[in-house]
Amino acid sequence: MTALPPRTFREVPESGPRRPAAERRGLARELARVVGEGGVLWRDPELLTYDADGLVLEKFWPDLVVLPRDTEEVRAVLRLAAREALPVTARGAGTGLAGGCLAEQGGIVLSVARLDRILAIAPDDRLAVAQPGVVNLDLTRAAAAFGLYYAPDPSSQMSSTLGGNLAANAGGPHCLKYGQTHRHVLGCVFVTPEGEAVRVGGPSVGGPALELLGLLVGSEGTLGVVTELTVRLTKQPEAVRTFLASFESVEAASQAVSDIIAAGMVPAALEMIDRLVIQAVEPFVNVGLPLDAGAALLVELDGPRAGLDRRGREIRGLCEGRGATAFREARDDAERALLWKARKGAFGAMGRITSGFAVMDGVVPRSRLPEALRRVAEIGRHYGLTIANVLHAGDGNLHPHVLYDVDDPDAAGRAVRAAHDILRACVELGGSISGEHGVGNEKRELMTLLYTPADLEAMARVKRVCDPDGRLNPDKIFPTGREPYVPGPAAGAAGTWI
Amino acid sequence: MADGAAGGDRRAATGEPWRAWARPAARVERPADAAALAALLGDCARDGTPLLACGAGTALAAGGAPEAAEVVVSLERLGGIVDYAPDDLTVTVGAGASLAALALVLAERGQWLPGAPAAGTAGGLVAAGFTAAEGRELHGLTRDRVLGVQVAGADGSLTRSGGRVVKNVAGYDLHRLHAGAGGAFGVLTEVCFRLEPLPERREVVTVAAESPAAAEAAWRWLRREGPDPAGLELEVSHEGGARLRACFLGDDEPVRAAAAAARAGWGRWGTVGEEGPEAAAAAPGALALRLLTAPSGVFAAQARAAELARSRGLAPSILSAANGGEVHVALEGEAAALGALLADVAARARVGEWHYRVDDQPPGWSAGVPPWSAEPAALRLLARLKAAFDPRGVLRPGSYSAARLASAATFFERGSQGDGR
Repeated sequence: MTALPPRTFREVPESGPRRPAAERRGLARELARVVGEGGVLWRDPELLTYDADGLVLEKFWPDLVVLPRDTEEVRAVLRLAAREALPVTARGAGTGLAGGCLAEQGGIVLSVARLDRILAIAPDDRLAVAQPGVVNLDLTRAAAAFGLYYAPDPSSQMSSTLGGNLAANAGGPHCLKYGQTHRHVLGCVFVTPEGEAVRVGGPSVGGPALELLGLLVGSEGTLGVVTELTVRLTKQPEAVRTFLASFESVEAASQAVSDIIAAGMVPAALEMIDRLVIQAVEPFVNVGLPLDAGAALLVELDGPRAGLDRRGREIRGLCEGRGATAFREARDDAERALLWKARKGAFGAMGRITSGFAVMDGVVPRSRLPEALRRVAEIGRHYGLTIANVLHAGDGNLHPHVLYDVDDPDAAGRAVRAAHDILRACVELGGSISGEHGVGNEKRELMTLLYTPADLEAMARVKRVCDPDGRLNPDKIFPTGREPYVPGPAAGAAGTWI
Repeated sequence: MADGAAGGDRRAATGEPWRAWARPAARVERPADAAALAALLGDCARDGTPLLACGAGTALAAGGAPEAAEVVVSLERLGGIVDYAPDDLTVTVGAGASLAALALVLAERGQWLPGAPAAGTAGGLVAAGFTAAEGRELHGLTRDRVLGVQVAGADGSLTRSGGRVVKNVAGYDLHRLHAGAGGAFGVLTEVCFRLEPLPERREVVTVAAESPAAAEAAWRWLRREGPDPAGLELEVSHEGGARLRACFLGDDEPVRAAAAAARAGWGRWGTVGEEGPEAAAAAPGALALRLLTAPSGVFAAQARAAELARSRGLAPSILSAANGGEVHVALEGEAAALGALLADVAARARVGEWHYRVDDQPPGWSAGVPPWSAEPAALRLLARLKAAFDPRGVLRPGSYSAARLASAATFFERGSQGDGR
């Protein structure tokens, strides 16, 4: 394994694999001939790790886990799965937060952990060819020798994989300026459920059959299993400026965000945390945020050195114009890391103020953020729950953390209900139920908030063409018509990556 | 059916760009709104009547000529701005919206839509898979700026994908299926774009290199040591030289600094200049081809394209988006020579030298090989998608039909003898 799924919580599994051990052993023997003895897991203890992803509210056991090493092995695995009519769920590092790689119908979990080679870096072409199990940050590290990096930077980037990032169309703080994963994947090879390899796109920026590539990115592994990616690498910026400002209220901070955009700037990142997060995070990062501040804004500019100082002064002026009470600029990389800690340390800090929390991922038009945050607070009051907010403010992407006490028997259920209400509010404000985490099994029933039956039918048509038997990552994205899952008393805390 | 659209229109052919691509007796419909357009599509599909959706008509042959349309659907009445949210840097427009008019509205608020050409419509821009050179390296492809669409389908439905927010990963990105598909999977009725602030400053630096080798060296220097341009074009001249043209966009100081660095760096490979004439676009009616390769492969692809053209007695104009790995070749000449040249290009695609796509072509001309290449398995999958979205094959008849896609797949099977028809 290149990366183990991070887990904040593990409980005794409620269920085991569906298929009997003898059948699993037989399949494992046959699969081992394809992927080698070390590439198949079928015994109960070995499967335990694969029963959930970063959303640990629901758990499902696979019958087998297979770890192929190249496209040909993936093809052979899929052919065998087709013969046996087994579901196949591809899995990256398991850091997803929407239950996107849960083996809800059992079957095979196809882990990309051994598809972990960077096949080529072409510095003048500014692209890399890599297998899907390569860890996001490892590609950036490998590209650094050429002054390049891989721009999508989900907070899970030290463990999440390129393949998982493609499946989720992952974002990150810097996608405000650089765009989400879809803008950085130039091409890929994917394997159909029948075991055929299909190559689309790359290495040109606008390659052939981009229609298919566009569908595949963000399809959460429901249309094909990606076995190779061609991705764009970006030149490292010459200079970076990072600022942290605190404000009396989220409204004031949101106004500052609008002012920055209106001044013709698209910063590399525009991140916000609210009062609760400040109070949780400041005591252990000591970055100097006033504990009574209503919100803090982290602004990062990058690009050519010339002119950045002027833009920095403008940002300071705009923030102060909205009553910024503290304004700090990072003088060096160490201080920059410290300022980012106020943002990225939010999750570790949550553990200090709550025993459990559910992270949501909603989007509204950027200008509706203050209203969205008011609605979030109202929903929290309605359910008697505290909600802390971390926001990709420049993108209008909210990550409300619904806090609850794991010893309170119905708190997790209330947290999930509150989360659903928050997403409903996002849609009412003109937004979406997911900005970067995906739909997975968590939000599939909420798709009807966003799309009409006809919209969903158009999507289902694609699914039927690409996966006629519905064996690739079943039960994801599309509503099943069941009530959304709401955990009972025994559920655990949600994951840590946003 | 919409009031005013029913019954059609048989106006004289003059000035109507679709005439070249539709049947002479084709009926023109001008639906008043998206619902009327969807109903019209449903009717056409039921009757098996092939139709061609048309914006400004400037890119109808992108991806190969449409054929035998009996109904032309003009999007001219779907031309309004539906929602402009300058604070959110997004705009939602009807598919028939004029890009020139949109640019004026956006400019009033200090914003623009990178990748949009001066002429054409919003829907056409997306459907044709076009991205203008200016700002392309900095701001990416048009398809990646589309946040959401509304589409009329062959089943008479009106559906949406994506939305009006800049981040959205709920469901499949069907808007990226429609981008570049020329209306083959449905007709766009509304598009939402992500915008950018207008740059404070724009500077252009050119270098007239004495040879293609000098141009390549100048390109590599810029790529490795020079400033990143917002757009970069490489034009090969008939005399054997080549001109690189870098456009810098952004804040005042960095653009001045970048342009100065480019001028200083490029001096050793030729005469450095400023703005200069923009490379001429391919004339209407010419064969315009796009060859796709890795960025560093552009120089070899240009040389090969020039050699192939000359061997067929053609004088090509070649303009490359070097950083994007695209070589644009424009050719005028006898139909037979153009056909032979495209067959040469296709033969090289079959052995994996490049991929290609016809961006425009003379009316009535047919090459006898597929108008664009892709891996056979991808073409087969596209053919199945096309059949699912348009079972009667009425949307954009011709180059993007399921049968053509399937035969193109056969053509590009290595070593096969398929003729691609």
